[in-house]
Amino acid sequence: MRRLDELLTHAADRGERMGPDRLIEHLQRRLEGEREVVVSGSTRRGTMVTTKERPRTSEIPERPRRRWALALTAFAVIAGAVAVVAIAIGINGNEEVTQERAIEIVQEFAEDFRNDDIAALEATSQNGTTDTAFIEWHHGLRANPEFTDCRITRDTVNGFVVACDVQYDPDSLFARMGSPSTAASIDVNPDGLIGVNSWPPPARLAEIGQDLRAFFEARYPELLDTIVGFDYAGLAWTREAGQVIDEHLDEFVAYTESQG
Amino acid sequence: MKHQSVLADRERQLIHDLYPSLRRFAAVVGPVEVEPDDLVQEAFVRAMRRGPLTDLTFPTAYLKRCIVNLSKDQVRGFVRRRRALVALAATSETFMEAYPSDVIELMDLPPQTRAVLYMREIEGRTFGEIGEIVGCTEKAARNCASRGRKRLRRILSEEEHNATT
Repeated sequence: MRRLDELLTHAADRGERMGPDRLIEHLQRRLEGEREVVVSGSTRRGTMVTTKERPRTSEIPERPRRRWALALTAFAVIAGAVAVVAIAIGINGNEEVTQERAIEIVQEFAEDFRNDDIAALEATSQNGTTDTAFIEWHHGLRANPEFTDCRITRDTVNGFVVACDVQYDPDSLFARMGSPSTAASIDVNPDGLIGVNSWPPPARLAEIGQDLRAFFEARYPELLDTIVGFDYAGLAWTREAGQVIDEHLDEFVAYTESQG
Repeated sequence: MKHQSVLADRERQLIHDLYPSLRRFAAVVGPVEVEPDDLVQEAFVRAMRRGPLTDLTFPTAYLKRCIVNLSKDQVRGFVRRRRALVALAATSETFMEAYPSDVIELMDLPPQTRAVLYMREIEGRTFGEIGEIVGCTEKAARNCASRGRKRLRRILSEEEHNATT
């Protein structure tokens, strides 16, 4: 068994190093427009002489008075809303979702996804299961996922599990660099609400993410921060990031091929 | 005037000085799916949006705490996403394949536990200092390290046992 300090040292060396100089370049770009520091030439002491910082608010917001009253009102409103929803569910409770209806619901979900109708997706999804960042990134990339061959794979007391093939637009990043399709597995509960079990990213997305970073760093360093993020494989899941990648897709494909 | 920059010379120097240790810290504490340099960069940006880096009394401690908090948020985000729209497990394996299995087991511990173990074992800090950095009491930091060691020991010895039988 390896010693803990060896293990920690090994982990500390993971990944490629950016180095402090490149980090400073990135920080410069990210802070431009937010912060203005004018550094003059050396003075007799050789120190910075003029600094203009972005205005900062140091005031602590005043604590709202009668906070308890607000909390009580909010609680009453929420309790009322819960009661109304419970009654509504009670009224509609007898309406069973059939297998055919479950497949239709998934196809409606796919249609809402393609139409970029985030409000509709949120309304038909089980609480908290709609990842708007993922949807917006797909739209920025013009991935246009199309659901085909939807079928019931499991029928449980909690509803149905519907599996579909997901085809990406052949001109999109996913189809050109990864794989043209993936498979999604989606729960439809007895209330007809959807929860996505799995929607694996196209093959090689992790490697594509690294290639994208190398490409933008080499050719368009000013756009690097737009596409880089924490969402997955070092990429940002935003509409803007998707659009930037899509606009440079031909060049990226050629660049990757030239790199072997 | 020599040049205009959003970073003052003293801040640049400070970034140069702090980068190596923060980079290593972020590599241990951050989720395996996240590039350690991205975490370091984000921590610097967050600190510098609040004011000049040189105004911080203990910049290393502040930035390390930022990295721990960002890592915790990331882990929560990944869990939510795994449960929600995308099953990332399949491609997370791609990342995992790049590391030996015992490093993967280490990366499976919560970010705060990894931070505590790293600062204790590698940086040789006291539990009091560690507690101040990660935002807990000395006793909590000590317990956290103890739990982390136990868990890691159990996993690794099980693995070794399986490999020999």
